Amino acid sequence: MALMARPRRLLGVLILAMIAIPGVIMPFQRARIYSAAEYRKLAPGPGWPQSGNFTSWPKSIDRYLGDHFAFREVLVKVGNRTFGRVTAPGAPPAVLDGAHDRLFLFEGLLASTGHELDRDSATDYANFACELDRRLRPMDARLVVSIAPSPADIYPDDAPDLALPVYKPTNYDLIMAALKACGASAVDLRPALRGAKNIGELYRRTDTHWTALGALIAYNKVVAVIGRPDFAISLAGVRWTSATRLDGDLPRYAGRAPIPETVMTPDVLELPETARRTTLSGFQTKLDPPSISSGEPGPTVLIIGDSFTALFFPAYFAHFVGRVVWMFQEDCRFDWNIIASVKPDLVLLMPTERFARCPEGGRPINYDSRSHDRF
Amino acid sequence: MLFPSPTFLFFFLPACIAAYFAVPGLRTKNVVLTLASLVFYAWGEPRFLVLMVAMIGMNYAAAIAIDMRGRAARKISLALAVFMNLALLGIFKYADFAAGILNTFLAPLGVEVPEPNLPLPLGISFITFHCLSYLIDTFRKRFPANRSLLEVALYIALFPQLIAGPIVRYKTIARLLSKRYLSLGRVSAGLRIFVIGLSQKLLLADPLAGAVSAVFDKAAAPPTFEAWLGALAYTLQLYFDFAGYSAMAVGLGMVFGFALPRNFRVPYASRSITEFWRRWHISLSTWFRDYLYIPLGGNRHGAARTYRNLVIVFLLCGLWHGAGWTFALWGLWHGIFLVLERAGLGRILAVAPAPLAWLYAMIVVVFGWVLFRAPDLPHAVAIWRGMLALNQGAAANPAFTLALNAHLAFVLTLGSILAVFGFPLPRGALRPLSRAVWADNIAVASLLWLSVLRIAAGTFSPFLYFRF
Repeated sequence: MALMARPRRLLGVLILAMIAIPGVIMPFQRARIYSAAEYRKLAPGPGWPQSGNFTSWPKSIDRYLGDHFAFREVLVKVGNRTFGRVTAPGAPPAVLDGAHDRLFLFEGLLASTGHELDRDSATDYANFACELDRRLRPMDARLVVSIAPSPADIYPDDAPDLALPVYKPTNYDLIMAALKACGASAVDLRPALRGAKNIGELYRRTDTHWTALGALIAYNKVVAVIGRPDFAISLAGVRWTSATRLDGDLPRYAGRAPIPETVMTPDVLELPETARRTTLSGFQTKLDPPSISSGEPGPTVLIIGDSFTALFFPAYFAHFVGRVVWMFQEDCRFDWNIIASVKPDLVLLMPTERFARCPEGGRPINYDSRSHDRF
Repeated sequence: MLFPSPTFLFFFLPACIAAYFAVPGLRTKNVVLTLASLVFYAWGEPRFLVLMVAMIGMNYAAAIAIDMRGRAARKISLALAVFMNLALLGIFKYADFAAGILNTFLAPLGVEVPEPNLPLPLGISFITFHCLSYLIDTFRKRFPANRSLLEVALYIALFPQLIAGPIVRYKTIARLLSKRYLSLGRVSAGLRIFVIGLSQKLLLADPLAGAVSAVFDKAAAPPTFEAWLGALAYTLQLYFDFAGYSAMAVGLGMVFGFALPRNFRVPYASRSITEFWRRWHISLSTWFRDYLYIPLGGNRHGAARTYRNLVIVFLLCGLWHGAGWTFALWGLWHGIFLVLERAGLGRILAVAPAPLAWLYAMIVVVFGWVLFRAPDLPHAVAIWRGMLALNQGAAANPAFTLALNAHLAFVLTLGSILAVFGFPLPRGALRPLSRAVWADNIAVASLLWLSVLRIAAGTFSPFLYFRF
């Protein structure tokens, strides 16, 4: 049989060698815990399953082997060069180039310019926020809901052609309208941010996030809406320092080389001297919530958000309030017990635009007696 | 565990091959392969291992019971065992669908049956059909029930064919369970087929996923070009994905000394739907023919009974693929065209110019795949409308525009040629010691290299919020 002829046998040996080498060499290579190219910790060794729970064990082994097979870094680099960085096989690129050297994350881009509209999801999210409002009122906590807009919302002229023109309404519009209809305090940050574009860069060009200035404009808008103009930070009084940074997450996400970008940092990001920073523990959350006590009397603010708020808002609030706590939320899941523990006067619910949704009917953990979800 | 994953390709498969060939004696090799198959199965969802072991035990005992008893008792044993297998399939795969149908009828009464929402055990449709073929053929006295639990376990759980077939009849590999020939030549030939299947999946099917998803999942009313390109891309994606998995299974089977049946024979070269089903998922169509169509009477009781049987078989064939109305309609769609071909269209196609007959078959198949892939019937109708140029004024979908690139065009072109014409081999290309063998070796090694790169690149997972 021709297929089994002698020259063929070498092919079998070659194939076996090619597929076995990454596994055979792996134990002999230096153990790595961090991938600089991906800016993340590599999966740790799976260990023996805790309390005999074998269900998720194979997945943790998959993650470990997927992160540690020999020559992974080289193969990934060559693979990304050969096929281009995509989020999944056949999926669109993770990152798109816009005008004026601005990069855009593809995830959520079309929704931010109205090309993808999910009325059910928007309604569900607004219902969730309205429900929170009703639950917090008897607890003497005021809820303010806002959404950190996507860069394409503020810089549509820089957005990639495929995301244009901008259609109305967007999911952001729908959520805001529904929040207003139910009487919740809703802050639409887009007009304030669009109106401040001439002041400076509001969003980073090589990163998914807004800049400290963009966050400051948003912060001032929020405190204006809650009726605390005394909490506002005057731009005129802020001192800025600039630095060239290579840490933009979008080139990395696209599998490209780092791109230098000048980033301005305000002095108000430094905490007041009297402030004390701790972290809260005992909550079901991916990150222990940081808590900043200013050392001065004042209201307690709880921010429920993600990286957009985490980087700036606690520091801005810390100059004016007695205590500010920040808690991570994802898919509307955060530990409801934090409300009773922190006893906030003000709760700011502020996800990033593309995360303003509660997929699969997500609700907070410990929200009611039936909820036993865990991260 | 998926074949195109680092865990399988770089660790499980080499370790499994090494252990298999390291141990002496076929019985020990069977133990190694059975254990490897159970680990492979448990990897996706460890708790379903209990189900797999229970099915092995039940069918092992049932076959012996069928084999030992008198005619009446044999029938009862068979009926009971078939019922148990189908009940398990029904509970896990069709309970939600059945509850949905029931609720439609109960709605006027204000009663609602809760949907159990059970997770679907990996490959349960294939496993059930394996077990049924073993039981029925034992009942038909095609072979005696196998008294070796190990061999029955290996037949049912053999990992190469566990996820996506082909559906291997017991008689196909019965002899090989206790006696098979192993050699480096067979390992090489098997790995070659495996690599070809792997590259079909990773290099031809997967790159089409973005365009397919843009049309089927994102567009409400796709314009004509978009609808056709989406439907054609899915036609190729499904073929290379499924045929790729089948080829990987056949190749791995050969590595371990088993001859698994070929599942695809260039189906998109067919000139009728009848011919299509002789070339597409052959192990399934022959299973339905032997265990359902013929017992129903086949074509032996007149035209009307034949047509009825065809429609029943293909309706169930559709439902076997998925518990949903779109799958049932897809089966019905094929059943209707098979009836039409039997009723006279087939004779016209036989004398029609070959390109015309091919065009007819492809149009039926492609329109059918729209039903198969669409999330629901309204979506399928919207795509059909697009294909028939009835979505006037529909705007292009940006996600689809983004998917259109040179790579997609290349894959579509190459994929179309390979899907319709097969791989054009020059005469004598596979003759031993000819230069073509070395060229073939280099080509296969290159395909593996590209597939490895694709798998490695798939593990790249940069953290977006590094400062967070």
